[in-house]
Amino acid sequence: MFKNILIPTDGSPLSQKAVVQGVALAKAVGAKVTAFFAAPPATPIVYRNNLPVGYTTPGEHEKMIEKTAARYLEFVERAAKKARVPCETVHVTSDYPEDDILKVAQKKKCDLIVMATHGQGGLRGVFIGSVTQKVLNQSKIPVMVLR
Amino acid sequence: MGLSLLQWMTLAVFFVTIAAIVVNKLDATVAALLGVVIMIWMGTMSEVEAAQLVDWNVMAILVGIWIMAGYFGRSGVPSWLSVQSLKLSGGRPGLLVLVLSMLTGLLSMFIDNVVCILMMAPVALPLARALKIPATPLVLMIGFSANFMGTALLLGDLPPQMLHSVAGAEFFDFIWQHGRPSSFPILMVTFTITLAFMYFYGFRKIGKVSAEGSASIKADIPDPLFAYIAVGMFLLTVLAMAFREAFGVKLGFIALTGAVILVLIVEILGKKLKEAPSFEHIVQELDWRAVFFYIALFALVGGLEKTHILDMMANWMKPMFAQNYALGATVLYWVTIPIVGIVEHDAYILTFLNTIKELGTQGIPPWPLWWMVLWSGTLGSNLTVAGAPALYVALRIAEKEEDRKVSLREFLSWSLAFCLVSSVICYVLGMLIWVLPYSN
Repeated sequence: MFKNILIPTDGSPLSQKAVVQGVALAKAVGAKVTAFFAAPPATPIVYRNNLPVGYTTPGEHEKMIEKTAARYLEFVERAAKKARVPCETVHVTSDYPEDDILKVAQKKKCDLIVMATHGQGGLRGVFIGSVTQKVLNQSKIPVMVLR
Repeated sequence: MGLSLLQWMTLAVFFVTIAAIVVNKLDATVAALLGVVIMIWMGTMSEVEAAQLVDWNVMAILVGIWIMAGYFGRSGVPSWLSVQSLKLSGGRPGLLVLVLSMLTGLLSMFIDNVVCILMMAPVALPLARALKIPATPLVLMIGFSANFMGTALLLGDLPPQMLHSVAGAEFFDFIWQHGRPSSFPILMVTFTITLAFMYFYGFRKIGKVSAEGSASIKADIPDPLFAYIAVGMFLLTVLAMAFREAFGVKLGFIALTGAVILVLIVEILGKKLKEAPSFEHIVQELDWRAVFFYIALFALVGGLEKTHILDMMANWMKPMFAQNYALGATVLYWVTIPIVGIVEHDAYILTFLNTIKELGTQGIPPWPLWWMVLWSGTLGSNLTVAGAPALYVALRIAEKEEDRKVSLREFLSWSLAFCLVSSVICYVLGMLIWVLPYSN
């Protein structure tokens, strides 16, 4: 059935739930997982949910982003390891995660995307997050959205 | 006094044209030319008057300088200058960004902003790769610097040339005028302080210091004879333009004369100059869209002038300056900054230069206002890509280099800091040196 499941994460509790269920699905169908995280570019201004929340040097910001990326992707790796599912991680710099999710899905020949309805963006889309919505609209492979 | 039907229609065409340029659904040049055609059919002006409203002297300056810049860009000198910047920085990434920004700023005082970016960005990117400097902030800094310093002297950008056209400002007026420092010293101080701020804001801990990496990059000038000719003719032309009044001819004529002589020398020497591009190639590379856009802009604003809309605007604005000149200049400056951040700045500046000219005929001292609108119109245009075509070009280069889209928030995190700091410093200097001495 599915051979390579792409699981994008942004570290939010809901996306971590999607990770757990995506890995469980991979185990059930004998697929591998590709974990994906899109980090924002390192700028002097630190943003949270599109609002500026602080200042740091781009160098420190980059280190902070690297740490965060490692932590989020490690969560997927650990879940996959526990379930004995092969796992690959992809980390890009982008403010447009939806575009990169689709690009990576194509590049890594994924045949399913498993993601949460909402990420860090919270209520940006009332019933479904804007990133998830865009992936659903534009993806050429099946997308499983988890609540 | 109310507006006549023709005035309303002219005003409507002007604003619809500007809106079409801002929303970018229609090519800016096509939109501007269309606006002029509609004004002519409406009877705002005849086709002959439209042609007469264009300042052909300014167009000749632009084309002449662009031709010479085309040869200069291919002489290998920009690449050589970049490597000298690397040596000067000692392989320290943050310092390299500042030196490259300063170099771009200095070049843009003589060369069109877009040409300057297209010249500097390709030679700066290999240096950025060697020192692990992210391409986006570096290229944006080059864009901001080119846009910023284009107004320091008469030759670098359209707005100072428009000031020459509207107010008769000569080359040296941009350095010292009416017994006080003017555009070049004020913008140079502002630029230096802004660069120092940007270093601490975002570049002091960027990239990796690499003396070896910087030592491995070399740039030789492939054809020294061609480089000498291109740079020499450029400098001679600038010198002749600086002393225009002694020759008693128009600046555009000097610029075109310099360009024609340069073309002639290159064509005569022919194959002896291995690296020299053909004249045909240089002409093809000229930004003809921009040339036609500027022609249309003069005719569009001329339409407002001809129907006395600018007189009415001046009458409406006069009490603000008559009652409190400093407050009026402050309002003009700070209202201009955000507007030109989102509206193409040349149209705005030309409209207000002409309006201030009308104010001048009504007893309001025009020069401090002309300078303030010129500076705010330029510095504010660094806010977003909509304000200045040079930034759009810089953004495209950065995106291509990093193979990703640059979001508005990423752009603003650099542009807002640059724009705000430069605007505040320039405002303080402009008020102290120009506005307050003229205040009642």
